Amino acid sequence: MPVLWAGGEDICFPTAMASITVDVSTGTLRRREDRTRCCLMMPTIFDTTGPAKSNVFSGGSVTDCWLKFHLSGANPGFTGSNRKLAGFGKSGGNNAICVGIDNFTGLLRIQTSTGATNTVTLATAAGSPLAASTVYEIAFHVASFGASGTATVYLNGTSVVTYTGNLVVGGISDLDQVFFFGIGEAFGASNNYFLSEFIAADEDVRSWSLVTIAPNGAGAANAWSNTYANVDEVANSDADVVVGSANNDQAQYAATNLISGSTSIAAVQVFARGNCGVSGLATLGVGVRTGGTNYTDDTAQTTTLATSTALFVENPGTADPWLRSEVDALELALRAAI
Amino acid sequence: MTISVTKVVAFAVVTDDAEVVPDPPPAPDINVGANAPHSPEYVALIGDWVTATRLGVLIELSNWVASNRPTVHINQCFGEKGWGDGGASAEAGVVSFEYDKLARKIRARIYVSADYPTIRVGIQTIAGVGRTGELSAQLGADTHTFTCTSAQNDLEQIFDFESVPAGWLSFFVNTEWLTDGSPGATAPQLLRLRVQDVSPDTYAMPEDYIPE
Repeated sequence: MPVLWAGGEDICFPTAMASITVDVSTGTLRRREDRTRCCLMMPTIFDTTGPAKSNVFSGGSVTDCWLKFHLSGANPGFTGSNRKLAGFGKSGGNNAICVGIDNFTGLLRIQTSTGATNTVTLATAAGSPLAASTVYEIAFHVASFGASGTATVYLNGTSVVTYTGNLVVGGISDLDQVFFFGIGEAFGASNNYFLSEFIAADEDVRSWSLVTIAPNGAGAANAWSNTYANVDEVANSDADVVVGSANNDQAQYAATNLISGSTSIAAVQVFARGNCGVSGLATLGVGVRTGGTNYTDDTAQTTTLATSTALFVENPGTADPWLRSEVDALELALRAAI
Repeated sequence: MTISVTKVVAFAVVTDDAEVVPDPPPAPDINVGANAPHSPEYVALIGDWVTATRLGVLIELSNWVASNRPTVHINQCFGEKGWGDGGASAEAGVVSFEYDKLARKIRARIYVSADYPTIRVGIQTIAGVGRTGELSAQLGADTHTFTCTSAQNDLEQIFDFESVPAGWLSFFVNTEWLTDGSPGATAPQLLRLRVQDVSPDTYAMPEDYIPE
């Protein structure tokens, strides 16, 4: 399972939904606008909210992994930034190994953290600081996470800093979530930075990109109340919902296509934020419709809203790698069940 | 009770290499005239005819169509001089090739996109009365052959190379002279060549083609 997890919008980080600012501005050079609908930042600082965390990797914990994300900042050199950006963590706590930005210099660095006031810098890149209003591709490779491992940060595909030694933080022995961290200043302030296009994998991710597939029309069937227009928002709205009322109610929504140039498809991952009532239906199936068949992964629901997700590293109908035509034709699928 | 969902979104992890044609490998080491060019501007797009017009520019493009999709590229085309009219030996550097006496060998590099793994090659040959030859076309590891018959003229042979691996591949066309004919008769030679991806669009050969 090369791809461990891939996402880039607020519901992909369900632990910090209320703290994430979803920036949809255009022409601001904060993200790659042909592939994304938004970029993310978290104004509140780490020790008041904890990091924003992805769903736990469905394939289990890892000790060798890659993370890729895109980064853009508002000021030359990100002056004043002294923050963790994103990295890997372990469910059940805030322990993380991550990419950060050095205070005042704007240089990337490798850090570990158990909490806001317990950040340790393992190594800092040399060279020039990052420039403002430029979308950078950051890749982070953790090899042999443990007492004798190696962590490397790549900037636009080129290694800029490596640390070999003890990577262990907070006693964790493996990693199973993507974390991204708060910036500590309000949205629109001078030192904002923005993250987008997160991909976690157990192989080199530097040649990969993320393309958003968003609902944009009616699908093959819809037994749920309301339409795709109630679940297509960029910044999540809990007040705007679709509802499945009977066991095995199915709903599908047509979705946007890949962009020009997308060829090999390593994975498709679907996210849905939902919950259930106090009794009755308690399972949400999330997935895709491809080749005329629905494929959904079931997740038990509670009365608290949470994100359910399904990762398809191959077309579930053919058991072969996804073809571009298949991804363009797929529909996003929901299923309600007992 | 019910299941409620507030938002649905998906993401695809992709590579973005479809529109990036890598640099071709170094030119093949073949026997070409000292003045034979291999400049990068000699790049054919799909469906273009490739013709020889004169020695020193052994392969030159005609009918440049910029709007063609650049999914198949021909680069670094080289030809080996033909046998000349009537079987007479041609002297390198002085013989001009007519449009209908392209060459007896072609070597080229063809770039194949992963999106279009079926490549169609069209080759026209010409042979005088009594002259026959065997033509072979090789793309990558796959080879097609046919016999160029006596007095054959302007007949286009079409070869489909299927499941061609993506990337730059060597492409060879070769003719072997099988039988002599009447003195003065034209030896079997390549007349014209073109390369086109087949999928997913329909391949249409011009039926009203008139040699230049």
